[in-house]
Amino acid sequence: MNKETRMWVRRIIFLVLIIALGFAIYQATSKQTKKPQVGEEAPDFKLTTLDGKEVQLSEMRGKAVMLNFWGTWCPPCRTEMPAMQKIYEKYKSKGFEILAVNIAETDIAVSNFAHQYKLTFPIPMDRNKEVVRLYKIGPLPSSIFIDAQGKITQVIEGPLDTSQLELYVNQILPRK
Amino acid sequence: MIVQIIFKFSGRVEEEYGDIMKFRISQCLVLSLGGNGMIENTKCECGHNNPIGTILCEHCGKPLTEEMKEKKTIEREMRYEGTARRSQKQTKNWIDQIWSFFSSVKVAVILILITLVAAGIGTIFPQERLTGSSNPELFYKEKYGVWGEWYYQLGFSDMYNSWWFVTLIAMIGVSLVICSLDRVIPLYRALKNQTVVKSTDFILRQRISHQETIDQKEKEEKVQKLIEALKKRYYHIREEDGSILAEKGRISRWGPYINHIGLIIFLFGVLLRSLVPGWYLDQALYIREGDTVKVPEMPYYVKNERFKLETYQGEYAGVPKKYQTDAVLYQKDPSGKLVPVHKQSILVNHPLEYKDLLLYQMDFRVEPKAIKLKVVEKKTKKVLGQFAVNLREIKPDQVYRVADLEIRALEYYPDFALEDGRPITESQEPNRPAFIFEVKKKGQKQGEKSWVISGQNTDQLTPNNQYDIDLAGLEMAQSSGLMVRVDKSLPIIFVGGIICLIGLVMGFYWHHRRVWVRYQDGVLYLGAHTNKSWFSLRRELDQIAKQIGINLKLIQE
Repeated sequence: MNKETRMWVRRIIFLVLIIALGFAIYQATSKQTKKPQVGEEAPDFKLTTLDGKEVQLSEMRGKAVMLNFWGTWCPPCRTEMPAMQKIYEKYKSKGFEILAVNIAETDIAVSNFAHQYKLTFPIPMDRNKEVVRLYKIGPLPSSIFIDAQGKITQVIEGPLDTSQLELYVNQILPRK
Repeated sequence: MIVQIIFKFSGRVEEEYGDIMKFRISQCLVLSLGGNGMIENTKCECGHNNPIGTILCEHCGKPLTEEMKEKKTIEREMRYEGTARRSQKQTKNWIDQIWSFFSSVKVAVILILITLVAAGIGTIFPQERLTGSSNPELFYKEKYGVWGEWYYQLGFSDMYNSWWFVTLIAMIGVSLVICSLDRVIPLYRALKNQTVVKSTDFILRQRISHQETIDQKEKEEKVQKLIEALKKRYYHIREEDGSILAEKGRISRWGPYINHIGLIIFLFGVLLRSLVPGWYLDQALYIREGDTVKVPEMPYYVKNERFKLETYQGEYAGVPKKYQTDAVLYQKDPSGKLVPVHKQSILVNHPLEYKDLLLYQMDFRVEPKAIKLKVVEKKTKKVLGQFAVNLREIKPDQVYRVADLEIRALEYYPDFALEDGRPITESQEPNRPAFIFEVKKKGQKQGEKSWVISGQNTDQLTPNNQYDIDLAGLEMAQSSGLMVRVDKSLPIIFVGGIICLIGLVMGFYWHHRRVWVRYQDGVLYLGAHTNKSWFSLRRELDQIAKQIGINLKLIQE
């Protein structure tokens, strides 16, 4: 090997090592924080709602979607429900949809709750907590706003009131 | 696992490079003290041009640096044949500097020590993923107090995935590669291009050396005998101009590097686990008897058909003897129907195996599955019958039948409490289940509402009811705890381990021995070198010398 080729061999070895190192660190550390982030495409899922209908997130393209995770046992979830219902009624005709994913509860408990709060939006039942795991949901309630292109625009942990909901929903309403 | 690698690795390092550091430091001193004159003077008396940083002439072995010339022995320098290593180059650009940093065994040892200490700290409290807690911040604080809080805050709770820990491991990997390359390439070149005729300076500075005045005639005969004797001991002989180079066991010198290649493959396998999605999975899964649950991150569903727990009798009564889960593995066909693909009983140490998926028996839990309720006719106090309510699955308007009664579930609160006079549930767990049922006779239009709250007498809530619903007991269900495991790295790790062992064997079971003989001006010069077990070489040479009548006595008796 002459000097020139040796130098290039060394550079290539170096480059490979540095790339491997960087990639390893990136992968290993990004894996745990792989919570869906703002700007990313919302991971797709398919669930059965309380009414027995199948919903798939990717079929909501073209609509503004609020993905909400909740449980009847979670007090802040109870407080935000009336606001969600109100906003739903107001914007439903303008291309807005709510998917209020219930986390592994019995049909009867959820059904009673929905009646009590007069909820009309679809309630997908995440019986095996698969979607919760997919979205790495921590505290409840958690809301994810998804625009008509399927991109995440907001990730909110904690209850929302009507004015906040107005703000976030107006950001993502499909333009006519 | 990581700790294991490091132990192995650190062991090797000490053994292989133990005193190299001293050598490096001394050499640096020489370079800085010697100044320019010395560095430029790399041309040996024999006419060979050596690269900068060479200690012993590549061609004739003559010591080149001033310091070496004064030394009595060059044993330490023989480790890498006195060649110039890249990390010791004088002028350094940034690539050379990084190279030098990682080629240092001192740096490698420090990296390993830091990693070892960190890995140790990581075992003080359980790691996040093992706690199964959804809120680790609170978990560590509540369970371990202030120490736990700090542990979490400092990032030790999920250390093996933290950027700095992975960086450390990756740096060890880089150091492993560079340390090896920096040494093995010059060493390989030096050994491949060895010359037979060595400078007498080189021979006499060997740890084993001997000179003896012999006349020409005697010399021919003795040298011939020496060659025969060495050949008998499996030395490979090269002759040139009456000089001899006898060598055996060179393979021993490659042992450490083969060992390192094994380690690098091993590390690469470990790295792949986090690099490639779906390459590695390690999760707990609890399945109640009769339930079918999706395997996380895999396209499979697993059904627990039956869980069996056998316990010992007599003295050790109650101690589990055998856990067994009869499992069926399903896959969804295009229409979404579950199709069984594999059926197997899972026992401890006998996991279910299907393609890359492994399901281990790990744990079991007993949980309330259903609550048994009895219906009593108030007037006659007669028990009309029982029904069971599955606590995890109650459909709205679910109807249970007892005698000629239809009992409809209206409301259910798994963890009952009152908030502002309204019934609510405090959690998802059936800690205090409460129900509202409607009880009516067949054909009856309007039934009566009946409350059931566990741990509370509800008679006074509905005093006019005909029927009373009371708790009759719990139906417990056994949940089998399975460990879901996918590890596509195993074959790579295995191969890496085997190569590592081969390297160890090469390094330990062979000795690299060389004997140089040169005759000059009526003097026979003999020098010998080995990379280990000098005593054995001395004994070998003594025996040979005795046979052929050379006045060599290396071992005092």
